Amino acid sequence: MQGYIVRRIFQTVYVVVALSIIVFAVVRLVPGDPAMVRLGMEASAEAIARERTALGLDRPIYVQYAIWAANALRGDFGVSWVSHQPAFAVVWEKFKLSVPLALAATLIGLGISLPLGIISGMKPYTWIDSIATTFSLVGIAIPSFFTGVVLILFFGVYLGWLPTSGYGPPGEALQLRYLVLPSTALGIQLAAGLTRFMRSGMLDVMNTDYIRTARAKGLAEQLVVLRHALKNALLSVVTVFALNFGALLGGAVVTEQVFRWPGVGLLLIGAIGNRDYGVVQAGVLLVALIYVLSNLMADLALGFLDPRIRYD
Amino acid sequence: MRTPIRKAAISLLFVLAIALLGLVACAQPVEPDPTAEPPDPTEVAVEPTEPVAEPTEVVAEPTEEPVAEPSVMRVGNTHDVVFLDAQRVQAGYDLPHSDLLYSRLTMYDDTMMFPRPDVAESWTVSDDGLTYVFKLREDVKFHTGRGLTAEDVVYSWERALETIGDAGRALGEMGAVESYEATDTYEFTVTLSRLDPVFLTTMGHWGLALVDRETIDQIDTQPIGTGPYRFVEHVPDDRLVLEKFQEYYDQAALANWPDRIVLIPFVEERTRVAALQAGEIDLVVTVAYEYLDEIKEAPGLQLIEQVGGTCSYMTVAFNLREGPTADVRVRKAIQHAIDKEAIHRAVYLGLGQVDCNLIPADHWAHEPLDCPPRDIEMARQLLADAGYPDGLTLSYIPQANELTQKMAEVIQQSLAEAGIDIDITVVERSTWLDQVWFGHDFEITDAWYTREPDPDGLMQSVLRKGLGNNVMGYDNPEIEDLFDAGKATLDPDERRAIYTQIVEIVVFDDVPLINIQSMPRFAAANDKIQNAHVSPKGYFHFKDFTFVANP
Repeated sequence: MQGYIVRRIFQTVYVVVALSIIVFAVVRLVPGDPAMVRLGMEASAEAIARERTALGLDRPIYVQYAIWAANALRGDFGVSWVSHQPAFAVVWEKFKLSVPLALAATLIGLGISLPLGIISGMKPYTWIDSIATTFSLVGIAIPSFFTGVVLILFFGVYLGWLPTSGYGPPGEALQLRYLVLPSTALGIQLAAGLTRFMRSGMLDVMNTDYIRTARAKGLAEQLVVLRHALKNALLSVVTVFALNFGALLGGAVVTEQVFRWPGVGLLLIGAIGNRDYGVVQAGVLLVALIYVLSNLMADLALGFLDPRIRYD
Repeated sequence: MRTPIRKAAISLLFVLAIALLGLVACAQPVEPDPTAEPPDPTEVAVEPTEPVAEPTEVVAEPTEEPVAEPSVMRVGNTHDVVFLDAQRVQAGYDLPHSDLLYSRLTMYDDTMMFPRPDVAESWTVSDDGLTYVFKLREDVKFHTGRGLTAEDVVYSWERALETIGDAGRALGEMGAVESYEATDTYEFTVTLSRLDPVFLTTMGHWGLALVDRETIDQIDTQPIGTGPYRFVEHVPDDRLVLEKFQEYYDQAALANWPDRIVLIPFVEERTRVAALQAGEIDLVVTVAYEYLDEIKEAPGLQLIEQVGGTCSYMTVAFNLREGPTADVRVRKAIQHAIDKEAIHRAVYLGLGQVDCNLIPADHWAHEPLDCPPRDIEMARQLLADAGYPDGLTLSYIPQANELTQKMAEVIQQSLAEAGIDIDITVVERSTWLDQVWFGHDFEITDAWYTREPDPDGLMQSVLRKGLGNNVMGYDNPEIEDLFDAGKATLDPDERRAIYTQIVEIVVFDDVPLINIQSMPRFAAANDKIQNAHVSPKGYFHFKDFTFVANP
């Protein structure tokens, strides 16, 4: 197991290096650059050319990458041309706001999907299964943008119970009541998907021989489910959850925009629009690391849940 | 050996514990509230500061006066700050803090047609109209406390017109300036090379903000100006906090404004309006047309309108350099085929005025024109004359905003009736800038122009050869001569005739672009904001309103 973890960590390094090259190339190859965006529509061609030189964009792309990589190894990811702050510091500040949103959405998502999926899988084709299936399909079909707007208008504007946006009053720390609506919008979508996987996992497991044996031994149904069925049914859920969790941490772009939650997603979408290369580069690398690590955690969790899975 | 159920329970507890720990750990540390009031000096004053001379005397308890809450105005902006340096500002979303942090020689009046004193308290113009002498106020201070002199104006102009130059917006408006100098400590003199009817008004242009030469190195992070508010902090994507500058020269105006202004970026229009409806912000700097009725009907909210008409207009622009749209007959065919009324109803919800004239209907230089009608047969005939009897396919790359993308769809439908297939390609803003605006790789695009209210400012950068807003590549020597003539006289009737002639050439002869309609702009606020208006360019006037904390 230890060897496996070390190998995976080395793989992470490869992934990050490869990704840094891809992102570096892609953001520079798409039309538009920081000089153009910075100087705006009325700038002369000469002014834009001067700005490109000042930003070092007139050098060959491999030279630009070598300079960037050398600096990045020393922890210097460049400076945001918009905020004039170190790019990684800008990303890290936003990441610290994305984490509580992702965790709260996860709690809501798991809190809904696990019980609903288990019950639904245990009692297929009953009224409760119909409710769970309807919830799943509606939750998956409706975009989080729509859910978010409905939540804002109903709980924020109509009832006035909860803040419509932001993470706290201007200048103050994060407040939990500000977390409720965005995490609910995200959590519902997460729950919708996970409920389907949980249900399907339970359905598969409940028809297997070992469950039949457990029942034949006279075990109570509750024990059959909790002791024998649940662990195996969770296998697919863990994998899907890890992918979703990475996405949540990497930036729930739409939700962050709708709720004006200044996390990594909102930052990255703005940085891409502004061609703020330093921030895009630092942000994408951080998000990639999160994905890789959350998948590593998922793999380890699978080994824990199913002892037949061996990584040595 | 642990049982499976215990393992599962431990796993679940582990996940929950990690989640809760993360929630606690990642919650932002409590920072000092920038909207909180600084220590109240009156509170300190009531503390007894000297020992009581006679201990036998009864000492009166210090009376505790109620501490007034600082008034805070929360403003929903459309975008986060990009430039704190006002001389580099490129877009309207950077104008609120540009107005609040900085001053200029003059500021615009309601109509943006006439100057109002700002740092210059008065000015004289020589008989030949070429020399302007500005008398500066002697009580203007930078936020550092240093007094402003004419040398600071010279420095600011040098930076705007020479150091930043064609990388900024001011230079394009100052073509007539020959020289400028400090002729006394508080006297600034400008010499023009030719008459310029809009020179004085242009002194209020954002790019001519007066900056502090002693702190210029930190202008991007800690800007210093002479405006009514000083910089407190900027948290990217979150807030910009400004605080009243108590030494601002116009104390009477300052008394009408809040102690603090917090600018909050809301990228999402719906959320911005919802925050206003929920009372979380006091002002929304711009409101999309679809929310106007909602705001009108909401108790306690008001729409803030333009008082001097609008100088925004929406156009469809052609590439005149190459391809089918280089042929004026194709452009005229499109002009006859576009259903402007349908666009007006479907996209602009009946707001603004449909017109072929680029000069808006309520403008002093406007002359009614007999606009080319919608005539599908005429359009087909023009296409046939141009060598496209069976119609043709043209690409259309709209600007990256929802409104113009909707407009492209309506245009696509209306041109189809004349046999013109429109292939719409939607790209994001930076790509549009690169491909269309600077790369000229397009056939049709649209341009939403918000220009200066004077007819010269309204059209010259759009229609003159090589200027910044002439995406079409339009080049007509007659137009150049007419613009020069329009700037060579101060007589309004003469100028009106000249600009009408320009419009007629554009509409009836050359058709480099098609004006769709004027674009009114609105802000919205609660009742704390009073006596406010939106400028003809569509921006909330941040130096002309009253804030009432408890209306």
